[in-house]
Amino acid sequence: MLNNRIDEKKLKNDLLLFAGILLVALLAMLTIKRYRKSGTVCVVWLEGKEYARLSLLTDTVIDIEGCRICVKDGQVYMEEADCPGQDCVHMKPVSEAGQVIACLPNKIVLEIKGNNEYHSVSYLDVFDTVTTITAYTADAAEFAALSERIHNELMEYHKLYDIYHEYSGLYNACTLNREISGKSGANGNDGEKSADTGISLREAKKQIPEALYELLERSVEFYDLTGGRVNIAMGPVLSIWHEAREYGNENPDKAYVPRVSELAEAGKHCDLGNLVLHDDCSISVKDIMTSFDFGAVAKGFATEKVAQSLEKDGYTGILLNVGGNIRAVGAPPGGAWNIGIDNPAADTEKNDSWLQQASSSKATTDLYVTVVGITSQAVVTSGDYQRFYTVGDRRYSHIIDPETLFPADKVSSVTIICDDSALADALSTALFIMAPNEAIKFAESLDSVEALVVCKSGAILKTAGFSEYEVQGVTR
Amino acid sequence: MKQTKKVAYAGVFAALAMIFSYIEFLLPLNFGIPGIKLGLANLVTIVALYLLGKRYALAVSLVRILLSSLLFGSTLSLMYSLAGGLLSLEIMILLKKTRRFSIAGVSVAGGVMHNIGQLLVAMLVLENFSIAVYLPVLLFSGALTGALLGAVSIPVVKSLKGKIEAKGN
Repeated sequence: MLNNRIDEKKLKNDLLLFAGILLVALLAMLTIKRYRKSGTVCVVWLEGKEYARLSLLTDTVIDIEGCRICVKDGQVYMEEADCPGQDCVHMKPVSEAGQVIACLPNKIVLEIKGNNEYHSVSYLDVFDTVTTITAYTADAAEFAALSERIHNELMEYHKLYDIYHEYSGLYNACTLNREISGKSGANGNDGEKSADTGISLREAKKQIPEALYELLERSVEFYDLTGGRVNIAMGPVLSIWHEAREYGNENPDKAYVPRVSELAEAGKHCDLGNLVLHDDCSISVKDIMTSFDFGAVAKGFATEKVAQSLEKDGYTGILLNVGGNIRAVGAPPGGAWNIGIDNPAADTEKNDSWLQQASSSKATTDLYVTVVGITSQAVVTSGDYQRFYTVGDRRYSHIIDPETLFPADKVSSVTIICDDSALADALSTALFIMAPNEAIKFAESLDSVEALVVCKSGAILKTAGFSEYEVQGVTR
Repeated sequence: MKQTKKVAYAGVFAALAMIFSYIEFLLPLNFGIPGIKLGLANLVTIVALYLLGKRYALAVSLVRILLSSLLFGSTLSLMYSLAGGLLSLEIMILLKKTRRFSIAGVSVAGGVMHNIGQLLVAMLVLENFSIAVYLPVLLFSGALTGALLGAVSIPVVKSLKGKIEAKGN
């Protein structure tokens, strides 16, 4: 009798133990599953040290120490191995973050890692502005390699479109401007050969680097699209204002407004029609006084090119912010990048960027006009508080209206959302020069472009589809 | 039971354990981690524990592990078996002492620890922590095999106990 009761109790304890273990196993499984993400890279470990990284996006085969590792269709498996057990070969292909295939005799571990580490870095040397690269990568090493690649690519464009400096061995925008004016053509011998460069741009054609030609091509498109408001040939006028602005910022008491006559004279040489695009990346320029300024398009164009090169290689989870030109390359793990559009009325110190990545802790009503969520779009804002100088009590911003030849003054800020960063950059400039209602109407007439305008009065106008991007209650 | 008798039984158990080990070696089971085993030989260990006591159980275990690794295993399998076998035996000894569990419960714990031991060794050998993701699978299979072996060993122990005692000293 006694034995039975003791036995029953023991049995009960047994069952409890068994159930407890199963519970632990279940919990462990749920926790692991919850954090399971699809993998992006396979790290190959040899004897405890990292040997190689294989991207899951490209099919590859590598042989190490008697093991043949295959990456195919986003999965990793061991094709062959010389180990006696062949356990590793029998394992099913893995593809999710955290999954592992191991060949013990050869001391090889294939570990799948996903993109879930947040990293961010800023550079100050690209387009003379703050560039921030944010990405979700497998680890810090991967981010370092990625950001270096992006930085290098951006620097290439920075140098190419720089109108203030030349770089040895590179034919860039500054070189182009110099050659147009013909260095030794000071006597007005337009069309004569420049002693230094040996070319003439007036009659003959000059072949320029493809990326520079492409920018010119797109700029002509933008000129036509925006009714001449985006005009890269505004160099002569812009440089007058540039000088006045620099002087005004260094000597605030002696700041001056350029003379109308001077501006008008310069304005005569701002006809983009003087630029002729030929085949084979060749151009000719009819007016020797032409001078290009790519300020309205260069950043956006470069950002778009870099973004596209990343997309082509299958990257996702990256956010580029080139001085306020934001372009998302694939969504982050959270689903979308939250971008806060600054409220011009907010009393915050502005750097070059009107667009900030909205953090969850900031109160959104005062600091931002709104917050938008993007996954692969470009967002660009043009504002009148970015670069400016003051004469007396009047502010003179940096976006010049081609018609008045004076800084545009009709709105406080314009934000554009569309798929192409170059287009967004150009449109934000163009719309900034228009009156608020005109700007919205123009944006509505374009496909897949959304705009938000902050008027001088503080009123906010949006295109019909803009609110689809807006994120409610960002304080997640 | 006299000492010599115990030794004799221990020898038989050791041989039996090796056969179980060999059977397991022939089965192509895969848990995802190469080298991880089911632990069928643990059946013999449990029976030895309840019939001969912990010292003999340990001896039987060690003999089985060493010899089977030599004969049809590898250094690697030796490490796995040692870790799994010793840890599982230890927990079984502890639980048996508490007298709160039946043979089945003790076996469940033994099975689980057997697998945990193997996982720990695998992590050390590969110098990689990420294989810990296999923990749920191993916990579950360890508990299951433990339960099954335990269920089998209850009648085995009962009947053998009778026969061994009946034969007298």
